[in-house]
Amino acid sequence: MKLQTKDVEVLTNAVAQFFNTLPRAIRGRSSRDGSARQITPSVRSSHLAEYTRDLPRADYCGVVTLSGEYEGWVAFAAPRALLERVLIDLEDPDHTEAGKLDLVGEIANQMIGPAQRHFGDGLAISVPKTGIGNASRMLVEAKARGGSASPLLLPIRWEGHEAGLLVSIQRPEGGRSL
Amino acid sequence: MGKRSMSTLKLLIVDDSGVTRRRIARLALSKPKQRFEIVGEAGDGETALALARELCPDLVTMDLTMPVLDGVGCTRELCVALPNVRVLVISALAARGMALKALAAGAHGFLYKPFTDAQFAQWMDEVVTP
Repeated sequence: MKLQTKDVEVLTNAVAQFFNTLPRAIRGRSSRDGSARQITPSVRSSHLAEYTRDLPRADYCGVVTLSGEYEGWVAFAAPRALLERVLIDLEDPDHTEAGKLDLVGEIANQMIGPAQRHFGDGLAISVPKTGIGNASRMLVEAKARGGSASPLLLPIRWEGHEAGLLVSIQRPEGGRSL
Repeated sequence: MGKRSMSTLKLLIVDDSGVTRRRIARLALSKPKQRFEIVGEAGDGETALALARELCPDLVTMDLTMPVLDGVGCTRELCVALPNVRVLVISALAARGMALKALAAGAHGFLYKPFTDAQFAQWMDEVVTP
């Protein structure tokens, strides 16, 4: 059983919600003359990520492991420039490598956390792990487990930067992908 | 009737993300209606407990998903060690059961991540105002 339309919609909304709560997005909406463009992300059609070439070019990746009634992982992969932009929006002074790794993990957490309301209390979420190039490694590992484990990729475009949310969720009993 | 004097509340910020800790600190310090003193920050529940015992904060903002000791466990121990402390959970975990667990552990309020600056300010007004 594949991810249902409603599941994908929930994840897409969670991605949009993160970017839409950034201070810059709020300022754009509240411009007096009404001419300010809305700074919202575009989450394009999701599809299964079969090959590493399907992934967006990403310097950083935050991975959250899922457990409880589910197993799997969620990975947010983004280029350096996108993370720099988010740090500026948040008025955060730490633009070091450690700062960007911290941010990419927190974004992964904030994108799957709201989806817990939809999937239920049985979806346990780990502390994020972060690194460089992790998205490719996660995809290779998922493929090694079999075709049904191919993760879903939600391609994201925000402020001219490409990123992606990779989602691999299964129920342990029966091993079915949702 | 004279204006009520604004007391300074000691705030301990607990979150495993540094960027989130700094954002909460920035937003708390920019609030005009309430003065805060950031007395400490912690990235896990165990460090938070040690700091809280030493610093006796009035308020603690608490993440739930953290290494070593999670936010629910930390809140439970914190509320026993410091019965007058107010623990305010700020977490991405949105399942209803998580909020109930945190409240049962002694938390006074719950704010979901991601949040806007305005949502944080309004929530703080609601939960901090006596």
